[in-house]
Amino acid sequence: MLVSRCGQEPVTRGIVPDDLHLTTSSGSGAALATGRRRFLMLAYLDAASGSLIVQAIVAGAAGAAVFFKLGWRRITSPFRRRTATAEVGEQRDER
Amino acid sequence: MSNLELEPASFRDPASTVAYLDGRVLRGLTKEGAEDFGALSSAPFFEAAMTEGRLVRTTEVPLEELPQSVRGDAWVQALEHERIPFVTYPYEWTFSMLKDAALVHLDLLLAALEADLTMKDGYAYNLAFVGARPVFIDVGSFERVRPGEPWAGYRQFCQTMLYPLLLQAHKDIRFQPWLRGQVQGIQPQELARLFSGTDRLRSGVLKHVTLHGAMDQRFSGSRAQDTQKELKAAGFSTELQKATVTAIRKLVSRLEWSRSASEWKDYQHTSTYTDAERQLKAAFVERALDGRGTRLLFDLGGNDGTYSRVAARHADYVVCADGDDLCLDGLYRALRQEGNTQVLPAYLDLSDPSPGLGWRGRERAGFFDRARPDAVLALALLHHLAITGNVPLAELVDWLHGLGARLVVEFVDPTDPMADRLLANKPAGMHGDYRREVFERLLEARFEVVEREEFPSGTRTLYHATPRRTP
Repeated sequence: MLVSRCGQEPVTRGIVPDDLHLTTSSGSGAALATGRRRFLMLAYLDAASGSLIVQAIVAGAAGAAVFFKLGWRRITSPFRRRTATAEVGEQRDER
Repeated sequence: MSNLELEPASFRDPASTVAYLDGRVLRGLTKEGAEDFGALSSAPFFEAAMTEGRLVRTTEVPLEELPQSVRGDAWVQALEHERIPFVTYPYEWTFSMLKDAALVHLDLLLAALEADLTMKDGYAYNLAFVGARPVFIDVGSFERVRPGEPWAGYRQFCQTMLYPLLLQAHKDIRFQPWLRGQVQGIQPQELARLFSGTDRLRSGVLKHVTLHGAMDQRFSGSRAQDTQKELKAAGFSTELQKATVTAIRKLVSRLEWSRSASEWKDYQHTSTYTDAERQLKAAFVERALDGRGTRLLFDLGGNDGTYSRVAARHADYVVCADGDDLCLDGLYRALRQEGNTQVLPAYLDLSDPSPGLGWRGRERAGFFDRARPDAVLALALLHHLAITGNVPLAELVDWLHGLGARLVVEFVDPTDPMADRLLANKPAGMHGDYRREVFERLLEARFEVVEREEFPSGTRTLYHATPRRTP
């Protein structure tokens, strides 16, 4: 964000800029190399599950279909235990 | 020696960092930030949005032009942005300002979605105002769309833009103290508890507040990445993300603050000044500012902006700060209609101005820490602060002196009907030192008085003064 300069001592003064760049770039390069960059980027905002799911309802009729399908998958998930476990396992690998 | 400062609020997104170098506004991008910017800059809406002034003017800077100490190792690309003359934060905006800013945010997101881009956040602080024009300043927000995912910034948009608007539109509760209270805005579950019974029937409440709050509670233990996978498997698509954003835009465009819509018209006629007094005051302000090369002027207690407009003839940029949001909202609407980009309305209680907020209290600077004005107007202001706010006159003069600017100040005598009305609320003798001779003595100790003019009524006096250097 842009701020007209304030009178107070800036928080960063006296810190070697290189140190700051180091802290803000952690991990991205390595992630890029393995093609898993996209997952890491999500960490910037805490995407709460409830806030993701409710968007299906906001989207109208087509979204509601997704919402109910999601609900159906959740209800029937005990019968698909093997697949669900596999999915979670897959994610752990990615981290 | 170059003077580099990293923007204190630019640390949340690792892909993009804002820094100031000798007054220039730079943005450094990591490899992935640069890839997103590449997609953005080739999108058809990018140039158009900058030309229309909705997106901050952005140019690429050859990296080798910058000193190594500035670019570090992580920057693979550098951008330069147009400078915003004076940044105000959402808790200093009025209802109509927040609404217009929200619409710009959503319109840009919709345009982005058409170009296979989306936004990684939905933050009110992504916008700033240039006069009455909202500008989206966080170019780093744009990223390439990931098919099958909902908008990652939806929750943040709700917390910092939609919920504050709903609160004021449906409940007539000012949103500013809530945003000032938490830079991340209002939580879904908190607002859900506030909207009960038939409130839930008001537009947007059931889905965005009640259901959102309930879902938030129900799925608080779920991992967002799992949810995203499930949503994708259930058929969520980019088209649905567009439908979501379109629905939110429709909702926001219909929200109105009923008082602003109806009461502003009468408002302009309630002041006690005569036309002759107004002209005298305007001429005094013009004389004080004429030919001084004022860049930034604060009109403190600027009310309906009458003297901000006068001052704008002699200053590059005017911030009209006032604690009456209804009045300021009317001013904003008028300025917006005129396409004014020189006068910025700022909602501010001068007896309780915005402090530094966010991480270490420095992410969002305090109002008076952001920039030093060249000139200050304080017209019909001091009696409010001194009598209603109980601020001693010596404190007030000291504060004005601390602003370090050319000053045009008005003293309203205790015998003036306006001051008398305020004094009537106080025990007799409580403000015994609120007298013109006391004020003049204090003023002359701190300022060089250039010109003094008394109103024909004899109850108001104007002073043009320049601050003395403190020993």
